[in-house]
Amino acid sequence: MSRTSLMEPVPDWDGFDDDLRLSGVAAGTPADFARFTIDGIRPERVLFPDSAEQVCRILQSARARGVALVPAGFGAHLGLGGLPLRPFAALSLVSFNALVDHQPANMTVTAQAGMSVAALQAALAGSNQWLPVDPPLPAATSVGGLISADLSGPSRFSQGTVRDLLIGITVARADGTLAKSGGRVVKNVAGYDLAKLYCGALGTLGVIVEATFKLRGLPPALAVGRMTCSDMAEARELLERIRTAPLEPRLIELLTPVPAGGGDCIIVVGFGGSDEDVADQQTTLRALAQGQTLEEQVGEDAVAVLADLRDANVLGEGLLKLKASLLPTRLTAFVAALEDASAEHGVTMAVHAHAGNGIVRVRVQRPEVENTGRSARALVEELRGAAAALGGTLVVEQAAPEVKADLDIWGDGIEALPLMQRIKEALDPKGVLSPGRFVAGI
Amino acid sequence: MATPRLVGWLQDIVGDDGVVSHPTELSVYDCDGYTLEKSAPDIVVLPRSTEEVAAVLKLLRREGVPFVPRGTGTGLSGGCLPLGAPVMVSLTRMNRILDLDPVNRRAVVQSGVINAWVSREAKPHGLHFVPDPSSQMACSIGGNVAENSGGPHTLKYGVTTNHVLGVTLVLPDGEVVSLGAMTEDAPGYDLLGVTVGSEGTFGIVTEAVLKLQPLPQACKTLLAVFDSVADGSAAVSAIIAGGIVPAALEMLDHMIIQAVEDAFHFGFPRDAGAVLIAELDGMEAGLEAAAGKVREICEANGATEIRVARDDREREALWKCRKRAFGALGRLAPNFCCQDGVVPPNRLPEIMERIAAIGEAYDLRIGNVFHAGDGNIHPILLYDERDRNETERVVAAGREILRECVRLGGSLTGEHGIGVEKVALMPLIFTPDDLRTMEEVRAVFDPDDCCNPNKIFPSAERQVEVRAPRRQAAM
Repeated sequence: MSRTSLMEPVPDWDGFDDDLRLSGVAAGTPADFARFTIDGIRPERVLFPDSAEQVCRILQSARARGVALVPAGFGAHLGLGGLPLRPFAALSLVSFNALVDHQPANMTVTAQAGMSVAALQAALAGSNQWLPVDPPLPAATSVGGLISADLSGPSRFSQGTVRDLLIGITVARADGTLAKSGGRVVKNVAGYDLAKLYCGALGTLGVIVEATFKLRGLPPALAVGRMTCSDMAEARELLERIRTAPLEPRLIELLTPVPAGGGDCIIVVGFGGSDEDVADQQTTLRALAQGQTLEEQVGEDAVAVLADLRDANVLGEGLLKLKASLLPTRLTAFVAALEDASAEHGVTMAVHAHAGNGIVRVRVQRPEVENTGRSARALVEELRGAAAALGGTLVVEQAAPEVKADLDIWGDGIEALPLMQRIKEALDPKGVLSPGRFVAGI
Repeated sequence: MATPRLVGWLQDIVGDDGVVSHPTELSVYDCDGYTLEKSAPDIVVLPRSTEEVAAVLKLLRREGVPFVPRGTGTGLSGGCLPLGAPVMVSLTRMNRILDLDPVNRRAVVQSGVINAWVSREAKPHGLHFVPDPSSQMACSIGGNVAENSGGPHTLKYGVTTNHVLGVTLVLPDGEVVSLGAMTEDAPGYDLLGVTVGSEGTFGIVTEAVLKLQPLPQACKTLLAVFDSVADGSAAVSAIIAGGIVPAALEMLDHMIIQAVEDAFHFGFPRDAGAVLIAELDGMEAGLEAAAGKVREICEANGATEIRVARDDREREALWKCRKRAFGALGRLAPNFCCQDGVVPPNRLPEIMERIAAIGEAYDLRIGNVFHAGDGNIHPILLYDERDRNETERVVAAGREILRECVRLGGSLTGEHGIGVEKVALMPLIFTPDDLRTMEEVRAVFDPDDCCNPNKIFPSAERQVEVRAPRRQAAM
């Protein structure tokens, strides 16, 4: 991982401040500085532009003055990503938060990047529609953050992720010009689908100022079933029955403690659709779950259960939060590897998986590892090796700064890395945007 | 350009039977489904593996020879027209399904595999590959990836990009890279996402990891007959606004109905102004009610007759008619140009009026068959390529239709791509900064501009003017 190079310019903060004053960009209060602190590193400036023009002016100034910028929304997900490589100004777009265009008849919406996902969903609900993603903390997640951090939740099993729903995007480039791709119609292959590039790029390629999504109708009925299994073998068998049953679940989640026995092993299945459809699936699930306890919730109660599931990973305590991506059939083998590691390292873990997608989140909970970067690193390397042996990958989603400093949160062996580095060089040649936060120190 | 030396070197890589250089045989490759312009390559090379593709591209780079990838040639925007690319790399011999994993719902296929083969192989496992272009019996997966193809059933389930997890890409310098993965959320930039739909300008995709979907448990297919396309379009808008997302919503206008009926004798009412095919799928429970709602909406919007497919056979016959509509047009004129504009679905009635007016103004017969649910229209302009004046009017009318789509908030292409056909129109929807950004990304993959050159971008230094055929087909 490359660290600060001697060639990097010394930022001209005074000149930057002058430029901002001239542009009338609002500055943050002391509380904002705390909010946009990344892994203990406070921003040098916090800026709240209120238009695309201001975003462009800030970018032009930052480029000329050698200032690094970290684009952000509310700051709720800044724990994702590597340590900032250089002193930076946080660029929050939350003042730039209008709903630009909702076309219920065409099932599309265009929103500015700083609008919260919760506000967007509330506006859409008036037309019985929603953007079918359920990222954690929707009230504290901006549309730009949703895209940049590629946030998703349990519903990704049936609805896909934000990349599947994003049909157009406008981005302020690192050189301070605006560029869009896609459009406002649901089907469109004119030009390259650059919107995909900005998904999950953690603000390293441009500052998202506006996005257009395709929408879905809100399902009239919702239900969740929560089943408790005595162990992973039983859970695995139940998952197999669910997978092959005549069901169209909206989500399939697996929650289990490691080591086993530290709590319940739980499977949550959710359904959304017409009243008849959901009732019918509930009946099928009841038949499947004979032998397990099954708790069912419908309507608002189901919404509450889903909200808890959605937020669990970001709210739960844990020194170290990991995300593994596996083939769904490798889930149980990975949990077995976690059991081995927990015994060896003397840690307990909470596992939360999108079982149908093979996405596993692991929260390492025992405090022994706390403040001992070395052993956290050993643990990550071991689990990364286990994921790789099963054909998957593992990234660190959150860790203490000293832990992050000691390991590569993304892992090495990233496919096509030289192409990614060239993309970064092409779109942000001066390294203005989020330096150090992305794979291989991009 | 077809130097014997180059042919010999290529034969060394792919075998004697893998290189085509005889002018008569090359004429097969002088266009795809977009026939307004034709240009044959000097050499076609047919590799059998990723390694052979890589070796071919390394050789071409050494020799400084640009190339164009080609699947089965069913594209509709001239995406594989070899303009400024003497060598064509055809992927048709790379046609094996390498792996089918029903439990994880994945298939790994070579790019020359035909789209319909994937669903055929997956069907015994209760699965299918969703993107179903009308040409699915002939089009290749590599072409689907290049063009980000759609089809009738992508209204509910999304287009190719939503169903591809990874590809093997041979870069123009011969390097083999793997983009995406068997698993979701591979770390790093989503290079896969931008490669899908890049129209073969990033390199050659040789393999793809496809997501398979469970076959819907139940399906209800309705055929609604209307006096006019406007009535049918109003029904489409009302269905979508009613929160129903059918698996497909397809419309055929009067001219197409007649051509299809003449060809396949399905029993469409010959005097109908338009028919709408609405398919609903999902859980058995609730489907009847949803179908009832669609029926009500169609009736409220003037449907004169509604039929429901009684069994799979009727349903299949209906879809066969829809998917073979293009072929049926051969009865009406020697040539046709299938346009591919998009409008927001609630603007369908307006664009249909405009198309009719444009047809009249240019004295052209224009039929319409379209993916009504997502506003992706396919005006079909009939002509005879031996009539130069008529051919030129087709080009001009096609452009005017696309301008109208853009004016109504739509796009230049919903699924066929920009290719060579629409390069000159790109500035209608993209600014110089938009296009510059795309070209900067392109240069990351293909810095020498040697992979499928002269496509997509209307850059001044390599402007391609698309007009009447450069070379008429043999008569």
